[in-house]
Amino acid sequence: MKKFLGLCFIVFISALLSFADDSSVLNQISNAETAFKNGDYNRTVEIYETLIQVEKINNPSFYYNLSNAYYRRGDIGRALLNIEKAYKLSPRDKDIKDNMQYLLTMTGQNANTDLIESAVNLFSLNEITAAASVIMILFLLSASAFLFFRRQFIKKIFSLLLILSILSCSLTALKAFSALKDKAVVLNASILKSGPKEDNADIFNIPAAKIITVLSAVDDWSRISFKDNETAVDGWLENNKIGKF
Amino acid sequence: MFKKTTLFISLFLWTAVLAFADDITISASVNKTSLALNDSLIYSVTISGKIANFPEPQIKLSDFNVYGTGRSQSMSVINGKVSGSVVFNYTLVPKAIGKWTIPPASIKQDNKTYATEPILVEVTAAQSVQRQAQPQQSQNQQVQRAAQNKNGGKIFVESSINKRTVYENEKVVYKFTFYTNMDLAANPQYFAPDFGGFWNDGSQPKNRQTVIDGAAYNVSELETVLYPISTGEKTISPSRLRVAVRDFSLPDNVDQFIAQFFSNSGATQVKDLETKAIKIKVLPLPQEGRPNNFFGAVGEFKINASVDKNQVNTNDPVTLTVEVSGNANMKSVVKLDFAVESSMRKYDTIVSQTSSDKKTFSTILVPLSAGEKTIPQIELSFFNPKTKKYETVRTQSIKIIASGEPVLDDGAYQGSQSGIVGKDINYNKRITDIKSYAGNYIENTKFFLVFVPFILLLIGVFMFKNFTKKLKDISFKSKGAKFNQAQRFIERAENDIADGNIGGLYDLIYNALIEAVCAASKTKSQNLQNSQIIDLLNSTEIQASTVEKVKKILDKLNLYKFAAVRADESSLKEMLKGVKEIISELKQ
Repeated sequence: MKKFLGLCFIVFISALLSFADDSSVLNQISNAETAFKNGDYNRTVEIYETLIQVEKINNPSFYYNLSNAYYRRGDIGRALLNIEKAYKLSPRDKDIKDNMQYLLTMTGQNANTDLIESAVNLFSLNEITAAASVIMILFLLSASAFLFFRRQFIKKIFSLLLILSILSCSLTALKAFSALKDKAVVLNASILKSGPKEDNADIFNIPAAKIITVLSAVDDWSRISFKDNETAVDGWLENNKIGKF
Repeated sequence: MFKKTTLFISLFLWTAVLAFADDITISASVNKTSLALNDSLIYSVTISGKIANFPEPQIKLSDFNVYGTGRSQSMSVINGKVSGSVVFNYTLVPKAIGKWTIPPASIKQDNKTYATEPILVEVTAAQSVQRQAQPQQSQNQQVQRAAQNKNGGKIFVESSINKRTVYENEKVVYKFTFYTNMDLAANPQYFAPDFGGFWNDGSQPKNRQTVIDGAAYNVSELETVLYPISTGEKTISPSRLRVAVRDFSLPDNVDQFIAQFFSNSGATQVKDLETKAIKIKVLPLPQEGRPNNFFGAVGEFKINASVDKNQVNTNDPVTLTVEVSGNANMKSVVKLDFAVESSMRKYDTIVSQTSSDKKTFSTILVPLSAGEKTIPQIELSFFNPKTKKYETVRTQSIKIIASGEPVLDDGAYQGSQSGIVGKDINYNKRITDIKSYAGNYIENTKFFLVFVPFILLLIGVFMFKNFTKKLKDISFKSKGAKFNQAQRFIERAENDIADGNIGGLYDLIYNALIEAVCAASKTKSQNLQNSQIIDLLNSTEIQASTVEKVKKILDKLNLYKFAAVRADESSLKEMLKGVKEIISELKQ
């Protein structure tokens, strides 16, 4: 009985604290919305960045609104960075897709048109991972059942789940490779260097909002690559000039 | 124990509730708890907490008149938490003498009500009020309106007011003037009078020079704009000025002369100068002839309206600016009624006070259809103390010519044209769900723990099946298990004899014997010939007599199994008994 009361108490306190936190967050969102309506985009950015960076709230709508505020402020690099983050979390959201398409078009970059990758991109990495995990668990259960009961129909289910498991694991690996590779966006127009030092030669003017791949990192510098008119370019940029997805 | 637990839980709960309650605090204070009937007090309500939009507190004041409110706010974001405080100041004027309670001010936030403590205030007759905030006079300093040093230099102060009889809310200018033609040792220190009963709208300093009775003076003036907030006889207490002057008059003795000579300056004297108190009569505004759109403006007002362009395309903005000016209390002009026809969209009005005698109201109008549009006259009603009547001033109506396609009120074009006219990013989302999405499961090693029970289940099933398979294989049985098995064969044989079922007894007795022999000789194989069994037993330390018994039983079993002779029940019982004895001996 005492244990039960103790448990109830902990649940109550957690709910109370959670409610207090939610209330505070909703107030801040309300402030951000008011600031956005009043054209105070700096304030909007400040509030959403605080919620994301400090409160650690990983929510696609937050990234979406933050992207809008950056866009209105004229910071296209950060607008693209945040809309990409929103898209990764909620890939089927029409508003997010529209805005990402808009920003990519605006910055002269094409959204992916590869059929397989487009299909894979219909789902977030976590959705695919969760689905693959369920199939894998069912496969393990069917294998156990087959070992135990040695029934023919279980063997058929087991075989089907084996095939599905292989397919789903492959899909997860493909998505993970696509999602986890070190993509980033150039936050402001910068000059690409030939090495990880300020006194290395300038080799390329890279525009803001250019999507790049991070190959490696040395101290505060990252070696990046991207394509410019079908020409592969790689060089070094300071970490503070790029935003990783 | 239970009491301790309950106490601990209560304390913890109370701490948590307090921590939660700390998010918003509200308190109230007054600048004085005793005042005269014709005096006023400042009632301040302070709200602080982790909220961004501070609501205005609800106050029900039946024993006081409320004149003017002010609000000062500070906000901060620390660790992502918005917090701040706001102070609402109310000028309260009591309605009657006595002890009155200012009731709690309250706010509602997130369905919770926060309230202040009530405050007791004593209202006395006007004569009993003591003037506050005046400098203490030292005994050796003499308060005076003028001072003169020995070489003829002179300083003096005076105060005046532009009207002795005014109406409530009418502008009054209190002027404090300081004349000097003496050398000052330091900046004078001014002590303003008690403006209780007036709304103080700030002071403006002025400096000039003048000649009085042939003597030149530097004159410093301080004009304070006041608005009476209640009716009746008011007294503005004396203003006070503390000055330090240098006296270059001849010293009275040699020591003073030497000190003055070497300091290269005169002796410094501190003087307190004081003006006279001023009485003002404040009249109430007349009820007769008060217009419906009168909102408390008192003075002389002018109003003027203008637009930035008279010819526009539809959907283009036109800025309408209405300027209110005059020798009056501009703070009392709080709003103007902007009514425009429905074919024009009107945006919010922006109010700004450009100076103490000018206020502008700006709004944006958007014509939605082509044609001539009229912005109607805008009125301001006020009480003019000079004419002692309510008056109304009006702007001229303004005409705007709009041309172009009509526009729907939502901004979309209407008519034959259709198609995209522009592109922009989609607008912000309205966030109601603030749940935080998890990071990538695949990057979290703990995620893979979800498979562990199922993998363990598979391994468990595999091992179990393997184990049961081994159990079925007799060769894997332990010595004890084999003896047990032999014992079970014996029991089944005994049951069969009891039931009169002797058909399968040979096999049961044989199996019991073989199990026991295999257990005793630690042999795994059961497919042994009788001779092999005897040889096996002989190779062990089993007694020869036991081996002989085994041989006899085996022979009998062979006889009855393969010969035509059928054993009777007694023979079978005897064989069974013999096998039991053998098992017992082999166990030993």
